[in-house]
Amino acid sequence: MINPELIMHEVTLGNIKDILMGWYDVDKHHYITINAIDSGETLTIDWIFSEYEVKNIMHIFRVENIEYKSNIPSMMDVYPCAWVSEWDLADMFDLNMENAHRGMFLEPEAPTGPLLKESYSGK
Amino acid sequence: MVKMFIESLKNLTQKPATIGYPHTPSPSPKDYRGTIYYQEDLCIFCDLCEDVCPPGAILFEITNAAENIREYSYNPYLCIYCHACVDVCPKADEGCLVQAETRLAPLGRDSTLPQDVKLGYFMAKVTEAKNLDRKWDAFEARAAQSRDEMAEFKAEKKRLKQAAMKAKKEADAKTKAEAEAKEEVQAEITIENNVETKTETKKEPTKIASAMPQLLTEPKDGKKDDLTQIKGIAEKIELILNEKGIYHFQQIALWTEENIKWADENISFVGRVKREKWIEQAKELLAKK
Amino acid sequence: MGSKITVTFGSQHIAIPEPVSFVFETENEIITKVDVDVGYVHRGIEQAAVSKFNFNNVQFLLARVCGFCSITHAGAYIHGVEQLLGVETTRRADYLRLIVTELDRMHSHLLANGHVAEVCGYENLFMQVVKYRENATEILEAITGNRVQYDYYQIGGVSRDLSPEHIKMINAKLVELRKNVLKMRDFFETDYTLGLKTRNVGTITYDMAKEYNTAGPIARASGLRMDARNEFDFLPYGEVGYVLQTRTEGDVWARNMVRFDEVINSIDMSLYAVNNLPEGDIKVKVKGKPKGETFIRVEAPRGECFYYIKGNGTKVMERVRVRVPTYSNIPVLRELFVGSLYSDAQPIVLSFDPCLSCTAR
Repeated sequence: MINPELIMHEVTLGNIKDILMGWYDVDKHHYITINAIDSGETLTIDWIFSEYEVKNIMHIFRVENIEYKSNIPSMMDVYPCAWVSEWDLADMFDLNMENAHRGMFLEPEAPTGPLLKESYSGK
Repeated sequence: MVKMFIESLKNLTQKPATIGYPHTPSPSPKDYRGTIYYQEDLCIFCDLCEDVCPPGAILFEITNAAENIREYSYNPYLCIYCHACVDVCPKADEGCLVQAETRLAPLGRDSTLPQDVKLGYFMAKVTEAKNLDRKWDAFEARAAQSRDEMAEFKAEKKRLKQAAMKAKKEADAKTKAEAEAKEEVQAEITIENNVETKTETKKEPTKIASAMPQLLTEPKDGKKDDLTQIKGIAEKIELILNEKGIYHFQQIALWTEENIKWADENISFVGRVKREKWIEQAKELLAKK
Repeated sequence: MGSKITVTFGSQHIAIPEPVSFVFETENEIITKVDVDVGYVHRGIEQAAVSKFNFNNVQFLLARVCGFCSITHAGAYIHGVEQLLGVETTRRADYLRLIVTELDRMHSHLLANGHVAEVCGYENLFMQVVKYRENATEILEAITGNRVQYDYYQIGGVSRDLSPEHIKMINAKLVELRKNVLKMRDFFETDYTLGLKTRNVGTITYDMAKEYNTAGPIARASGLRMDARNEFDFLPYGEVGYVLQTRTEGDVWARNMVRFDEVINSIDMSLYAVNNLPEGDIKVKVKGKPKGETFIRVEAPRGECFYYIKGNGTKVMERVRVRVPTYSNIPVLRELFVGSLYSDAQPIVLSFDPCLSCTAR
């Protein structure tokens, strides 16, 4: 068992793009994915990175207490590969993601936001 | 390119790497994960296997909520052969749940289904392959319903028990009051009557109280009966019975309802005495002797 | 000429066994625009993991995200749960896990390389690879008892131990496999006709690999030193002789070569681990329910596999996020198509060893 070192960065939805633009170094950092957690009332969104050839380290940019249907900025300008994970998350959590092309991961007749808590808790 | 060409020519002269399935049977390696087999008389109905089964291929149906009689069912065509049920089974070492090294033949539309008591009650009832899915769906719904009924029954039992307790408390309080106020004899009688009728009506639907049957410290004349002759008693259970002090058919034949209840509670048989008709069997064996 | 033609590739295509759809806009033979759709096999696994299954059953579900890297998916989840429960596994269990994970990588890599040969029209070589690959799958079948879904990892350890006969059998088969893989690598390396279809086709430069955050053998074929086995120590790779394999060409051929190099390295690691198995139990007792959150990275055959797990102290997990390797390789795949010949599209797709069932989950 190992305990990876998690380096948490304090950000908000307003400044996340600027902060990432300044922090992200293409030679050093590897973008892993973007992840959302639904607490039942609000969303928490993480932008997750690792470093090349550095042991057991992870960088997490966390924004908490996001209202549903908030506008989430896209990071495609910072790293061009962001679109797959962003479109996936927009489909799964019914997010207003900037530039997101809806319907790549879900068919049009699928329920909206299947990973939101209210879609599977029977509400 | 040349190297691969030479290799291909070599392959032409070698014997094939494949086998002639289905004319030659597919080799079955040792310790392969196969079908799960079950033995009811070792089961203690802990339901752990049902809880852990990821695809829900193992289900217990409660056929009699009052006596807590459960029937094991298994769908070998839903099984993912993950071994989780055998891992959790507390009696797996004795052979309650065993994973065989072979699997059943794949299900064809017209294939006949295997008939084996060790596959559980559900597979014993289904004969045609094309009905299997439909019947399993119906069975799943039935098993879930039996769970609800069981929960209802338990809640009802609890409620009745609480009511009986309350009535008893009231009765106690009343008798206390009676002792304190001896002078008011006339009034007392009416209250007492009330209490009596009350407790009686409450007690009626509750379960039969358990009572210990006749037990011996050692067999009569030092010779015990072979209890395994009774269908449903395996060697393991015989040992438990002997430990408790039951050695003879006669003892079992004399059991009353209260004694059966005692057996249910103390030897964790959960309704098997009645289901497997031990008392009747014991009587027959006694007559033969 | 100037006239544009739209060619669809998938959702059902003879070259790929899984549903993915690319819509190419081509000018003569050159692809000028690509549209991707990957969500054909969305099965709602992330949702089922947090609503239908208890935490000690989720690994069986996650193993079925993918047939090939099932061991890594179950493994990643179990590493996470063990971390949340504070379970320290024995060294013997770690070694056994490593052996099975590496065997899984071997047979997956060999099949991927075989597939590239197949879509290049070299069926003969494909059959040859699959014939030799059988050694790895037979070992897996003997160790775990299953051929495809191993269900070998358990919370706290592994499900079975290795017997002395197993060790003897693994040694014999791995030595034979090593010999055959070296032969295969030679065929792939020197074959002239295969080279025409694979060399300088679909080249990803080092800068491109970095910019698009590629993962796995695809990144390593371009010289990007990136491997979750090197960066996260869930399994004792440092002790068994792990070497990070890279090539610099970045084309289809280099990706094949990286895979062969990794298979050789995996065989060496497995042989070392099998012959130096530490003594001890294979499983430790586990108590409690997971509470808290954790991030896990493990290396699947196709690249880095990322898991986020959050437990809330009840039987059911709060959130399970799966990021599979193909997911991070799709962006560069889309870029790669633009400007290449349509006839090269199939080797390029297959050299990525895509796993679309994983991607859609």
